[in-house]
Formats: sequence, structure tokens, C-alpha cells
Amino acid sequence: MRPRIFLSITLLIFGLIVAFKPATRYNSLELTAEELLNEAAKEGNYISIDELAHRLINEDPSIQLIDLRDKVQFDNFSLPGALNIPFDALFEGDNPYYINQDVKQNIFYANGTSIANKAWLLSKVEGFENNYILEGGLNEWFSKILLAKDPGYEVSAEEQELYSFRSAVKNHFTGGGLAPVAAGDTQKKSASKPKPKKKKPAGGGGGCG
Amino acid sequence: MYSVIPLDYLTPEWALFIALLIGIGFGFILEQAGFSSSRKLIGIFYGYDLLVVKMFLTAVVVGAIGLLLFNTMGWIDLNRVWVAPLYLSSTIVGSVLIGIGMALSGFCPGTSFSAASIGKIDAMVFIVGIFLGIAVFTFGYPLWGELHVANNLGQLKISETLNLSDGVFVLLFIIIAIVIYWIGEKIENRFARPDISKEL
Amino acid sequence: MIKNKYHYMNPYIAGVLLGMVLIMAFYFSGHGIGASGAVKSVVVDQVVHTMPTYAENSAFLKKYVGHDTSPFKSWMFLEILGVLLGGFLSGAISGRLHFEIEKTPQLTNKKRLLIVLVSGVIVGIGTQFARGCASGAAMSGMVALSVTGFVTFFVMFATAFVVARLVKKIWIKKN
Repeated sequence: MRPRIFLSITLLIFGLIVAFKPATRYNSLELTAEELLNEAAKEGNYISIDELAHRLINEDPSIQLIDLRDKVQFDNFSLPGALNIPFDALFEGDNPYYINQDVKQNIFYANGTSIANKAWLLSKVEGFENNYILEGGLNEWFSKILLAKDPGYEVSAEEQELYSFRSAVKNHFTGGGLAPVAAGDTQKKSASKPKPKKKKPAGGGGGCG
Repeated sequence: MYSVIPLDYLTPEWALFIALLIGIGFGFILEQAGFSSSRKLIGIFYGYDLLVVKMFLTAVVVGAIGLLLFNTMGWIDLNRVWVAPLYLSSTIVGSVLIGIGMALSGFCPGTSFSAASIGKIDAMVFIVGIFLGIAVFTFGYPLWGELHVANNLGQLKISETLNLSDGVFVLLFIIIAIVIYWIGEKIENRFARPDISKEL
Repeated sequence: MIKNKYHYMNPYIAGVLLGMVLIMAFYFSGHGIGASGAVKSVVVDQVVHTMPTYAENSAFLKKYVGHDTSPFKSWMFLEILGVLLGGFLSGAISGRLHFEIEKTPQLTNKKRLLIVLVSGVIVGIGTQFARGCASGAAMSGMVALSVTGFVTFFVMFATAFVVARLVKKIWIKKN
């Protein structure tokens, strides 16, 4: 009898405390402005479209492209071998397995760079490594490679070379035409799940499941 | 989110060791309270032993208060506490099945381990059953895979659904718990079965 | 007051202590405790290792292929080992260690074991649909204030209540 009464009173007191204390919902997902700037400024996290093109042509197995746009856009066009992880679902379901790992180099891309930047920053806060941003995003890929225009003869040898390289890339991916490779083809080399970094145990997804 | 709370320096080895320690605590308390006896546990459904009500309810209430208090002190970020997504159809099916199994055997997985740890052979057989059940589920997945992932309503917190702050909800929960304690005692007195209880 | 043969801890006190253990679990891991996860990790590990191609093609298992599925790296599994240890210790100091089949007098040993085996299978299947069990999905879920936790708890116990009414004979002898 006595423990029950004592317990009830104690619980009530604590209940009142938690009910009326000021809400301190601090969000550890936010970086301070300074950390944000520092991280964003670091060079090493970007990969240029030329470098990507190189890797793709050589079928470099160590990279994994991650398309952050929604499924409709992804099905419409995506880069070869890309995995679709819409930005809104970045940390949902199985997605963290792809983003938090130390086997491949993930390359985030979207149409521009702001979403890829955000995704990269969010992953960084969580401590995930090996993620990169495609510089310029698909817009850059389209304009520089797929729509590459012959710069003519009055430019430096380097520029000529770059143009040759880029048209070769374009031919490689589109077979000569301007039409982007159908999304279906790019799915063939779908990623096998890399080992997630076991820095923090996921506990099987929490609970008992 | 599946990542861990502020203790980012915790290596996987330490985390597993802590899991072991927590398990020992859990197991010890469970058995001390009497959860190792299926006959004692089944008493909740017949009114002669409301152990489950008292213990379970208290544990949940204390746990919930603790999380909120830790949050106030800045030791836990509630955003990173695992809130399981609600797969409505799958959860209901699963809970019904577990309920059936519980009423037939007096066990649920946790208590069966508690009972097995003190030598109850029926508990060990139950555990074998769990293995088989999970295997059945795994190999039959093509049949119910869709049901398993259907209807995902997302990670919902009950306080948010009721439009209350966590603290206020917990306070209400505590009041309800206290009422249940009192009702529980009355039920126990009314439906007492000393002939059963004295054997446990 | 209930008079039992053995001495048990006061349930309210036990509840407070268990609540504290739950808090510690959340603090150190971000999730609560559970039991079915441990069994699942063993099953998954076995299947992935003995039938790798099957696992790759299984919608349920493919996310585990290529990962370390050893139960000894699973939080839940280590925790359950702890539960066994803790229970044993508690039973030892309370004089409750016996090899026995706990059942009501009206059942035979065989019947009890059969019922328990079948129940285990049903519960095993149920834990996968429910993504947890009473301690994991329900209890820990409610501590985190998740709707899933509350739904799981209510449906579980409501069902058990109904079924208990139907199978009263196996538990209660009319006196």
C-alpha cells in the first residue's frame, strides 16, 4: 500500500515538472554558422564534371552517384549507375546505409548545387564521411558536356583538348545523339549496399524490429 | 534518425558492452519482479495478479519522465530518440498474433528469456518456437512482404498527434496511471485466487 | 496483498528500476530494450550465411547481404545475453532455479509444451509484423511516446484479453 502512495505522489511531482518546464528542444542537427562556412569552404568535397566523366568512362567502381531529385525527375534522366535518394528522404529507411559507409565515394548531385550542398552538409553533421558534391550539378553536366560546342580554332590547346574530351564523353553516354540515356539503362549497375560505418550501432533500427 | 545520442565517443565495442549491462539489469529486475512465471503473468487477464499492470505502467512512466528530464538537462536530444514508424496494417497484424500467443502461453519474447534463465523448460521450447516463427516469416516473405511495408504513416509521436507538448502528455499519462493503480488494487482484491498465487 | 510462495520484489519498485534501465538504454543507444531483435539477428545471420543467393533475392533479407550480420555485433543480442545472465542471478539468489515445466495442474506436460511451441511460432511471426515485441515495440515505444508503441500495446493486450476469455480452461480451474 505504502509504496503505491509514495510512488504516485513522486510521479505527480515529476509530471508537473516536465509538463511546465520551459521547452528546451535543442536541435543537434544544426551547425553553427561558423562551422557551416568552414565546411563549405573546403575544396576537397567537390568533384568536377570532367573528373566524374573520366571516372564513369573508366567504369571506376569506387564511386557511387546519388541523385537527390524526386523519382519523376530521376526516371526521366539520370547519370549512369546513379541511385535515387530523394533529398526529402535522405535519412529514411535504408538510405543511411548508402550514405554512411566507407567503401565507396558517394557523389551527390541534383540539378544545381544547392540541394547537393545541403545533403552533403547534413551528412557531415551526422559524421558520415566519403560524400562529395558534383560541382555544378546536372545543369553543368548538360551545358558543358551534352551541349558542348566546338570552341573553334582560336582557343588554346588546352581548351581544344577539353572540348575533345567532353564530346567524347558525350558520345560515350549518348551514342552521338543529344538524347540522354534512358533512365532504365543507367539502372543496370545498381549499387549493392556498401557496409555501413559501424561508428554508432543502429540497433537494428531501434526497438525489436 | 538512427544515430546515437550525444555520446559520440562511444565505440561500437563499448556500446555492445553497455548493451550487455543493460540486459543484465533488465533481466535481473524482470525476474525479481516475477516475470519469470507464466502463471503469474497470465494473472492480469483473470484479475488475480496485476503484476504486469503495476510494473509495466510504472516502467513506461518513469522512462518517459526520465527522457524528458534528460532532455531538459541537455543530455539527450529528443530528436534523435528512436520513434518507430507506424506501419499500421503490419503492426496490427503483428500485435494480434503476439496477443494470441501471449494468452495461450503466458509468455512474450522478453519474459520467455527471463523464465528460461531460471530453468523453465516450457520457456525454452517457446523460444525455439520464436526461432521457427521468424524463419517461417522470412521464407514466406513473398506472401506478405507487401503487407509488411504497407501503410507507413511515418514516425508519429502521440503527443504531437494529440496536439500536446510531451510534458503535458506525460502528466496526463501519470494521472491515468495513478487511477489505474487504484483500480488495479481493487480488481486484485476482488478476483484474488490465493490457491493459485500460493504456488507461484 | 498477494501471498506468493516465493519472495518477489515489489512491482512498483521494480517498475521504477526498470524505468531507469530504460532511460539508460535510450541514453546510450538512442533506442529502448527488446527481445525479438536478438532472435531475428540469429535467424538472419544463419540464412544470409547458409543461403546467400536466396538472401540476395529476398526483399526481406537483401538489406543484410554484404553487412556483418553476426549476432555478437547486434545490440539486441548482447542485451538478451545479459537478460539471461541477470535472470539467472536473480533466480539464484531467490531460490527459484529449477528445471521445470510451469503449467496449470489440468494440463499434461506434453500439452503444455505443444501449446507453448505453437504459441512461440505465432509470436515469432507476430514480432516481425509488429517490428518488435512487448518490451521492444510496446514498452520502449511508449517511453519514446511513439504512436506505434501505444497502438502495439493496446492491440496486443486487447487481443490477449479476448483470447484469454476463450481459453480460460487452460489457466483456471473452477474451485
